[in-house]
Amino acid sequence: MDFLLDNPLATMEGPIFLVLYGFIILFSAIGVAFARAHADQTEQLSIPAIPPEPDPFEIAFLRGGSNEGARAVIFSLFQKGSIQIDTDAKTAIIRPLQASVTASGLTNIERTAMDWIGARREASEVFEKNTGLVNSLEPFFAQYRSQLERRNLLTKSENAGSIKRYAKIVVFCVLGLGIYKILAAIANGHFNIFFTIVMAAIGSVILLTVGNLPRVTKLGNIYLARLKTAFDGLQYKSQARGLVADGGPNASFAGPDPLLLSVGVFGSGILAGSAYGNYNTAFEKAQQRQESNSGGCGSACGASSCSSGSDSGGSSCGSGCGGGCGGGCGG
Amino acid sequence: MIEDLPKLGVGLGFREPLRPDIFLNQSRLDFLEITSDHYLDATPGKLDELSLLQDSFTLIPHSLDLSLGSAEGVDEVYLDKLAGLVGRISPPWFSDHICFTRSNGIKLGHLASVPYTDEALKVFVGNIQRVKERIPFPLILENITYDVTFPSSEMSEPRFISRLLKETDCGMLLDATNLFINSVNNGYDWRRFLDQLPMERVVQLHFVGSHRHGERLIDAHSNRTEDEIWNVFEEICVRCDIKGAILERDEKFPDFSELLDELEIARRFIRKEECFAQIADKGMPPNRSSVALAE
Repeated sequence: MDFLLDNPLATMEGPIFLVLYGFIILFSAIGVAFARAHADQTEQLSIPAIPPEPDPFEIAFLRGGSNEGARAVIFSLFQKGSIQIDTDAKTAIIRPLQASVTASGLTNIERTAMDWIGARREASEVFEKNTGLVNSLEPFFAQYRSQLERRNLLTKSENAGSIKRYAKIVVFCVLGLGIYKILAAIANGHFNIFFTIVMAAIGSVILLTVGNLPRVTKLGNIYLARLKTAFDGLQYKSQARGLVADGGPNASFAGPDPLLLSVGVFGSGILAGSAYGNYNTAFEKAQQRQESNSGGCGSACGASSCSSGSDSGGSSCGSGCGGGCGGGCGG
Repeated sequence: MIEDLPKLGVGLGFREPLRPDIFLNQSRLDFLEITSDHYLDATPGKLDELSLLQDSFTLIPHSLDLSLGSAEGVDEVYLDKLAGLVGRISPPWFSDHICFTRSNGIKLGHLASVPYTDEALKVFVGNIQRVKERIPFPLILENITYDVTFPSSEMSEPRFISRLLKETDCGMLLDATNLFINSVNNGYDWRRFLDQLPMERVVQLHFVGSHRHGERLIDAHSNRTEDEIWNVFEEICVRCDIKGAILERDEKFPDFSELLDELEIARRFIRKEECFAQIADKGMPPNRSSVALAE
């Protein structure tokens, strides 16, 4: 017992311990960052070619998770004339426009969304956790998730889990050292432990953050950048003043509709100021309502899904979410 | 060797504004032709674009500045860069023009024709030999438009081209539009021109609409292919087995579906049996474009 209170670490002067502790946290963070970098070496794999018929919903899901996927589906229905969005000062209401039209010409994911909309829904409901559209579309998103993980574009959950476990062990050691020093200091009659507590807390947060693998892999980000390069011109077309809102999808193309694809690739923010601006306004309101309920970069925004653990909630609003937290959510 | 080259089909000259439409319509484009010069001193962005294109399409590099007719020889720096690009792409063939673009180290900024003489032929043969040593991929040569004819010419243009292709063992990139424009501007019959060409050496075609300026035609690459040029195109397809054809549109880009329509017409001419059967069924249409659109 004497050894626990009478050893070089326990009796080390506070400032010197803080410097040592700082270095330990720093090197631990470097170690975790190294492990994280080692866990995602997908940038060495060959970059997937642009598919002949890219799926805008899958791309939106890759870019910003379930929320962005749901937004793209809603936009597709809006563009096809299956729904209308009525906005007033506070709310945005989604209603089916022509019940007969909805049965044909819709994909399975769009039909599921129409079923969810029913007679009417508020735009803010789209992102609600257990009853939202995001929840109804989960079977489709699960399929996208597994395909994208298989193609190494999304972080595999086992990879994310192993790095997280490693980070937690390191945090446990760092915190343990700090707690030991605090207890030893108190036992030795020193009560100036404030800086040690602060450093232990900050160090733990840093380590846990560094140990959080991004949801989209390096290869996934390269692929998204490649999609943006390939379809770069579309976003300018989408913003063209002459864009006709009731023009509907462009049937003359072999691939998907260009406007829907550009929403998938760049996010619905590119529609701001266009003839489809009404769609954006609706989700701005939805976001504002969500933010007033939950605060922060709300769940209405796809950008909240940037951490590895979840496709629909998390802490970081990283670049992988692209336009999701840009104009689409924020105008 | 030419007969061993793969049959690529019908494609488009890649131009940056067309990029999104090209990727949206991959299944309707058999291959792309890139302008080599745009990628010789490429920014990282252009290199990304190149690898993006390369992963989705067969690419044919088409260069502008080898200046095969320059008496001073080929610019070795340019040749090195081109060799690097062609090596990176590994295309079935690459192409340049039967012209010179540099003289005494000065860039003309224009594809200039040469007098059709033995001396000019010797220059071409020497330069092409050098290019072939440096770039081990099949080179094909394109006919250009010209506004001047040289009194010092010792032979006709088709005779010059025939000898050049034979002595260098190169294939030909026959620009149907250039042929038509030259025939109008210089007053000759393009069918007789074709009679004198070694058609078995024609590998690829270029086509696009011409631009009329008074009595003359200009290859502005800015218009829809007109019926007269489709006639030339069809005649070439009848006379030889084309490996590929490229629509060369540089300006005034229309809706992409219009370009796809033109490609579809070209595709029908290249697959000649189908094409002839269709024409026989319907009778020769007065306007090919309208037939394709109607179908």
